[in-house]
Amino acid sequence: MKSRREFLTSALGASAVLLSAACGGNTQPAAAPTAAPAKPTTAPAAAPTTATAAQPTAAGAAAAKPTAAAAAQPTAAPAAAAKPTAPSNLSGATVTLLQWNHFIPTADPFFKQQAEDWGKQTGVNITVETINANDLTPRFTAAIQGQSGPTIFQMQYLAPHAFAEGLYDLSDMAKEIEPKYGKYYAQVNTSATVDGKYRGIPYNIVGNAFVYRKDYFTQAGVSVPTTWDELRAIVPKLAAIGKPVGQTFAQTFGDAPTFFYPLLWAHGGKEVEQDGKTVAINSPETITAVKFAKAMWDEGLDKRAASWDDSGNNTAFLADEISATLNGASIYFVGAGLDGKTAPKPWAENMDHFLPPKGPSGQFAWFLDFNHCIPTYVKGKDLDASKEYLRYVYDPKQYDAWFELQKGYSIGPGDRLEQSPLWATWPKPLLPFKTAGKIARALGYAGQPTAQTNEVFAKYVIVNMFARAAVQGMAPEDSVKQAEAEMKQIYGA
Amino acid sequence: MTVRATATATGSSAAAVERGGVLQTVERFLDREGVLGYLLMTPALLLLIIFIAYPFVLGVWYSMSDVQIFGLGKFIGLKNYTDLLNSPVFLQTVKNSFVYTGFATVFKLGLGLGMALVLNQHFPLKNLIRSSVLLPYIVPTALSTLAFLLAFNPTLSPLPWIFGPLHIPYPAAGFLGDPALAMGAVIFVNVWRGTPFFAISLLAGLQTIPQDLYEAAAIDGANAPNRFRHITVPLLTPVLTIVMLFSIIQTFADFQIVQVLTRGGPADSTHLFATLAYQTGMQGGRLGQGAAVSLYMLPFLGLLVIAQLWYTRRNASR
Repeated sequence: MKSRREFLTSALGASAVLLSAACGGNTQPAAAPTAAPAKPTTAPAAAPTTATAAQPTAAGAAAAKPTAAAAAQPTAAPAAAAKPTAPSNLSGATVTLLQWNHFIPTADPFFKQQAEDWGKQTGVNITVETINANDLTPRFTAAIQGQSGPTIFQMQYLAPHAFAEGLYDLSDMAKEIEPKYGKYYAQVNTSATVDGKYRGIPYNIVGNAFVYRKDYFTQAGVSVPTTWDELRAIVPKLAAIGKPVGQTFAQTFGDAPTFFYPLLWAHGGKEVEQDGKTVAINSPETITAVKFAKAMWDEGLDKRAASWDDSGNNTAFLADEISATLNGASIYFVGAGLDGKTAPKPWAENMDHFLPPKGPSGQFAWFLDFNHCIPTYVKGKDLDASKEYLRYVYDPKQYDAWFELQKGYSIGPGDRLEQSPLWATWPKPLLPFKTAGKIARALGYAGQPTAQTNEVFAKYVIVNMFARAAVQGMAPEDSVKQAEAEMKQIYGA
Repeated sequence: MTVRATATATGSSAAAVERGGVLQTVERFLDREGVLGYLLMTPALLLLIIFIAYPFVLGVWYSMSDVQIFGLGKFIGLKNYTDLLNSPVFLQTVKNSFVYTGFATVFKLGLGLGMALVLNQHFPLKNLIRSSVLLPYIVPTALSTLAFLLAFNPTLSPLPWIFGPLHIPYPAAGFLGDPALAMGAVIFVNVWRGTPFFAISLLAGLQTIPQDLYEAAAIDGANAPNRFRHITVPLLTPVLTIVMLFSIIQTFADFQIVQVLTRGGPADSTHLFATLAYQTGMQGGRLGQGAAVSLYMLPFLGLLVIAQLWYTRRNASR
């Protein structure tokens, strides 16, 4: 009997400990873990800048000069960043940022180093977690549902629309930051604002352009296409020399939708009517676009691309297996050895870019854009610290160093960085990205984007509409009809 | 001093008696089997409530609500369920789930039984090989599937180097680019992973069959196929049935292999209930409908569980 009682006592004691541990997850530590004194806001803004501005030097001597140039750029930003808006003592607070695995290999370590520097300055426990971009949304959903998780979400595309209810209105900060970057580009601005409120702070745009091999174009006797029809015409010719054009038709977040949405719009197709609610995908224009994609597929696109994720075309291009593909500047970045670590490919000089071409209805593009959002479950000191960290990230001294590291792969949320003298120092093939932000259109055309627009995107309804017809051989009309059925269900029509 | 000491001693002994009384009461209370039984059950019950019952009830509520990402949503009855019946992707998913489960189970059963029969023989390093057979089953599924993802990678796959010299045509879109081949690929990985479970379970079943039955049958002139048919099969059936039911339940609700290899693609052609529920609820932000997709599995899995319990009890009562 005694052993039973002992067992029960131990079991109850252990349960109590477990329960208290489980229930205490959201409590702040009773005492700050460090004894760091209160710091003025200016200190964290200024001090790490020196460290981070010096970092790109490691990438090569050539990179060091522009850093200085960027840091010396006269902007009103430092003064703005120095505003005493932050609480006097953030020490002991916790900031966790969840974002994608960057496609520029050196970008994540650089960004994390900046964060670490800021953490040391402020005494804030900061963690930057990077995961595969395809897995970001489920993590956001789990965090919002569980009311626990990262204190800052770096969201892509229209995610702020889907999560709006669970995100703080950051309009004040977005407006405070906008003057540092020039007027926000339309696409990233639309992504961040829901019903006129900024649920995210526009951060950057990763432009997509066709990276191609000039030598293979010459060999095949083709020139850079300016229209979709011309692009279609070069596909069989490049396939004939064994270096096809590669375009993914798979369920992946970047290279598939950034190809198919602009292709749809260029042929006059639209997802919904102007009211943003009435599904309008089943139109002759959409069917024409789907038939066009199917023809390109049949006439010589690389068949392996049927299941490429976003890194698939990078791998194939860098392995010298394809002649052109739609991508961010990451292929060029690695191929030309711009990180200072990877040796340039022997054919690096033959790479160049061209933007998505024109169609019967015009030239359109849609790019990967990013916003920083703070979920409403973040409170108190953690909230203050998260906001302060974002001020630090958006301080041009930090931002410009990060921008410089990527050499045009990522552009700013507004047009200020179009004027950066760095563009003149970077390889000419990167120039198409300089003004890419100006030609991007938001999803959900011909209406304004909504949470439903994001759901259509997240479920790959448009991408699969093209894939079913091209890769699986379904009649284009039937594939469009299926997409219409899916969209009507999503829009509740 | 003495008086005070005595008084203190008297007081403390009274307190000790009182404490003893309380302890005795507690002891008597705990000695009652009914009380102790419930107390011992409480931790398990709490775990079941917190980790099984609560999520299940919440899932049922979600499936009948319009919850998106935030909050609990409004009650909308069976709308999520009826909407799904009009979704081509969902109907495709139902078909996929049965194809996936059916083919995978048949192959796992056949290969597992064959492997068990081989492992039941005497050969050198028998124990080492028997243990090694379990490796695919004990390696975390996501990890082993990542290895297959590399093997099936459309650009980096080593398979064309193997297929080429053997004059086997390698599919132009690779194994994950074509709907039928992608389904074949995920079934293949499931079979690779699940066969050891069948093999080891059936091996355990084989070892419970008395050898003298085989010897007696051999003396009576029964050849190997006959011994297998008339001794092995009937005596192995109880284990076989339970293993199959377990496997069907696991396979039908599978998630990791498809999520890692194809994420339901190409063009939704390999979605299973679990991956579609994940895409709908977690990626698409429509938790209510995602829960409804999951709960569509319930009737089928419920029937299997009932069959399993019925079979187990019937055998136990014999």
